[in-house]
Amino acid sequence: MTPDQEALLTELFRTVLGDDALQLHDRLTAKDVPSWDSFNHVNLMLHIETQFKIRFANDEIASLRDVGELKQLIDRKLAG
Amino acid sequence: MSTQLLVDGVAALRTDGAQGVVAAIQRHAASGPAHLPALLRGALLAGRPNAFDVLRLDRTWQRAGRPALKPAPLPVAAAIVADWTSEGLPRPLQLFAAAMGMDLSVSTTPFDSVEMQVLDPASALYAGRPGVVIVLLSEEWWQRSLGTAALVDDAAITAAVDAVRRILEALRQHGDARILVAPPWGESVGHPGRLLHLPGHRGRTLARLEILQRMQQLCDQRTALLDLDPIGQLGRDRGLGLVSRLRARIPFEPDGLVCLARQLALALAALHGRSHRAIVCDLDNTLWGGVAAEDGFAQVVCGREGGDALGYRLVQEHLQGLLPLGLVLAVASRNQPGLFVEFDSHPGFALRSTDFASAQLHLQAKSLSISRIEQDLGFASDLMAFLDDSPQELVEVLLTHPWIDIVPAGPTPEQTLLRLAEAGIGCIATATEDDLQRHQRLGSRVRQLHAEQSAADPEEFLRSLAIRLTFSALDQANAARLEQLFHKTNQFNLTTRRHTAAALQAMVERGGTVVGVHYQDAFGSQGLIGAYALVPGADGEVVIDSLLMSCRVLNRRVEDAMFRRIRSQTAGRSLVAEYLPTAKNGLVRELLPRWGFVQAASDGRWTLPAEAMGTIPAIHATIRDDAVEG
Repeated sequence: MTPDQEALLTELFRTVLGDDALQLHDRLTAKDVPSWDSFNHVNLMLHIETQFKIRFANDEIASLRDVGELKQLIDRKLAG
Repeated sequence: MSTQLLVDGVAALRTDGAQGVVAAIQRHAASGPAHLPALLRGALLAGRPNAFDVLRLDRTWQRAGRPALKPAPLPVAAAIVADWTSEGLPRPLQLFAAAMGMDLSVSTTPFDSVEMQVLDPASALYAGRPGVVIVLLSEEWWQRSLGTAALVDDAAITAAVDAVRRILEALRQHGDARILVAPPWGESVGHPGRLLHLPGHRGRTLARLEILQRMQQLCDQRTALLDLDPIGQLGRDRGLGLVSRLRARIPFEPDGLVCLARQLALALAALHGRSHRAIVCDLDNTLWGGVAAEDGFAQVVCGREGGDALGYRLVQEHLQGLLPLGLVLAVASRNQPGLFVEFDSHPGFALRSTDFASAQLHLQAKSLSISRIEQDLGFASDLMAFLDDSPQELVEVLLTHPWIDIVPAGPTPEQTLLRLAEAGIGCIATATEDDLQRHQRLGSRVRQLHAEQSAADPEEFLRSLAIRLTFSALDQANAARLEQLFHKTNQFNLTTRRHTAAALQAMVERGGTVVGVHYQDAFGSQGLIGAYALVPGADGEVVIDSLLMSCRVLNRRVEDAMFRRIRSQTAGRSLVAEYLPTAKNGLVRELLPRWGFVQAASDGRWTLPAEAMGTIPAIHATIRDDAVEG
């Protein structure tokens, strides 16, 4: 990911999860962030798809284990 | 520093919409909150925000401590009754509601439990005592009756409408909330044959229209349909999509959910008297292309010939089209007053000079124009929107009138039109005949005011108006307008009790009196503009529960005429009244003592003894009394 894309992803996480101090790292998971519940997870994925102009398959979302894998998935989608 | 934020924010609103405003706020993070409400409102109303913009605006609002975005926000409690995952709706709804002047609390019902909540009088829905219940039924809910096939049979349509009827009847029976209900909003995946009409069957679009018409017949003074057409206009990818439906049983994609929140807030504002009542328009490069003083009036661009000319024509047609909804138009333009004389001569214009209730054309500041328009129209600028292509003018006005809502015009007329259309200005949930005639009434009021200002003797002026007042008791014909008066009158209101029509009727059945006052003068009718409610008190006293009057008939002694009637109907009995102060009704602080009431030290109530007739000035009006009292 480019620095701008990283910054956008960070802003998306902070805005959707309502945590201005959240720091993204590759090992971050939903368990680490109290507001990252199932509802906000759906919102997060939708907003990422809209802002990056990509679309995830449902099984791709289900298989993600951490932010690192999410970044890799975004990169694959952007590369076409 | 904070003024720089306002300047940058307004400029960004015009060029980049809501996203630009968010960026400006971030750049000026140290500025403080002074102009935040105006910019947040501008972004939400006229910035065409998408779902992520709304999230960021909401975060900004939350971080600032959720400041009031309009003065004296009205507390409103709403309950959302939905069979789908609606938990994402309250946050954007509260933000849009705040921008419309409401402090909204929202509860939601558990997933797919509409009937359980609505049909059970002991459910959490009723225990919460919401003021408004919002019923939002998904595609799946309607499919229980309509099925999923391309053609719907007529019996299925009847079954669907009956199911909605049962919900509405239960809501009316078990609670006293007002009800907003959405008709079926369309399908995320359609079938062909939508417009087929065969014996006993019809296509799904025709079925939906039939349901819409029948649901309209289920509406009454407490119940209104929600207009969710704007969601369909977003298209499948942004509005009624499949992605959210499949992943989370949410019928709308994020932008569609935000559009729903906006439409709900507009409807709630309409119910609670917080809708915009007027749009104040600039002229040059707003209602036409070009600058009249420089290009010559005949050369300004507006007409049917296509391109920008057609764009400006459509802007004018859109504004003119709002007049039947009760919206008022006014002009604030830095032009010579003589320009308005030529207005009707332009062959390409849709608007006429008579479409404007007030026209301020001069070379002074537009903030002064807004002040004069406030005086002309009789209400404050927090109920107005201001359409202008100049960011400098928008900022100048906001610095003096911080609660007015700005809608930047241009750089192209289609951008103006899209902002106006999406802002939903003029949205109403229900309308009385009085609303629909507002622009004509206000036009005649302005002419009356200008005549008053040029009159030498106030008593002679009042006589010259040939005022005619008609008192009428609460009945079916005036109940809706009386309820609206009770809900919308803030300034000239002794007790600000928000009685519904049903509550007023109950008051009459318990021996009270509810009377409305209709006003007409030489300039025309102002409709039903005042009301009072009397209830029996202890020991033969009569209590003035409510006395209120529209500010459009201030300084006409209408309130004195109302009091004179009250006194003549209650002669020989003590009159008791209260003044319950609010942020807005300081106007009536001295009313009761002026009439001769005396305040008791013990409980603060005001009393006029049985033998006293009270003190009122000369009333220059012909009175017709149609009120029949038992």
